[in-house]
Amino acid sequence: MEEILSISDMSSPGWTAAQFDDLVREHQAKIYRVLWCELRDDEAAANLTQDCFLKAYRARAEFRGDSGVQTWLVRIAINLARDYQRNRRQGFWRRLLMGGHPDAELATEMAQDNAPGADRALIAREQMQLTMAAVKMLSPQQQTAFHLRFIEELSIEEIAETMDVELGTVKSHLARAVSALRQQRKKA
Amino acid sequence: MTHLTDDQLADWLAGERAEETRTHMESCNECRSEALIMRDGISRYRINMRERSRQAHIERLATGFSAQTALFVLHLRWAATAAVVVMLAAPTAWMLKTRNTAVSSPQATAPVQSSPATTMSDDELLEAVNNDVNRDVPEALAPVSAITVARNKIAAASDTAAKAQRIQSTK
Repeated sequence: MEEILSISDMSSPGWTAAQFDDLVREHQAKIYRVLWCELRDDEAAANLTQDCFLKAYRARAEFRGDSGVQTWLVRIAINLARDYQRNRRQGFWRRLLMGGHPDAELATEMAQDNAPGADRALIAREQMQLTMAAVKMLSPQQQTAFHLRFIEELSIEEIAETMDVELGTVKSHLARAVSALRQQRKKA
Repeated sequence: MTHLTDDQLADWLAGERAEETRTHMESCNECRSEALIMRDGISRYRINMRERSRQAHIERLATGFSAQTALFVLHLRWAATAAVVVMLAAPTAWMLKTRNTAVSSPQATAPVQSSPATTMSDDELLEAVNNDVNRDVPEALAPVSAITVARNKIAAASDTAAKAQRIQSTK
């Protein structure tokens, strides 16, 4: 974030650089989390977090305040993640070089980190894998809606604004996500 | 009994407690049990995803990840790309240069000087074309054809001689 934070000496119409620095400090962890949940890639999330604030800074004059700053930033981040996923040809090489499935490793790691007893670890791992498997079955749009709703805890209206879709579409995405979870539980 | 729809369950899981959903949950053990288990799973998923991303973020900050690093990596990528382009372009350029040299060499660029022996006047050329068009057999078969014609001539001559001899002997 150094480059972003060092912009405080630059003047900005309608939004002072100092205010923008505060905005970066306040939201960078959240933006990183949104991107990380979308991509499951530390480096990509970090790079895109920078890109997100850089893009926001360049487009600061266009921000009219119709939506909240957070919604605006999350929208930029989601769009960057979409572009990144679309262009992620190197994913093949990464999987080839690193081997294994990152989600499966992540599920085990998470369960081990948070469950003190063996039984709890087993249950936690099962629950995590069920939820992850269900989320994985969803389309990218549905996954985004699920993450924004249940991880970022945004309202339906905020998600609609962030994803630039109708309220009904968001509800449909969430219903599909819950349906996938239900199906996954029945299979288990 | 009609159980909770996916929509109703999604709202309930997100913390929205509609009256209808709440009433149903109080009376339906199946839906309540399912909703509580799913809520626990999602909650665990949320906590762990947040924790995991937080750790990754801290690690990024701790390892000194900065715009300068990103810029360096970006420059490194550009340098690598440029090197690959040069590696690919060099042989092609060399081949093109070699071909151009061959094309631009005096031997190749000199106007084709037709030798006097091969020079034909328009009339000669026209005659050659006429001969070619009027040819009975293809050019490749011309020698065979010539032999056949000569043999036929010899045969015809010997026939004529034999006839003359017969006529004399009958007289």
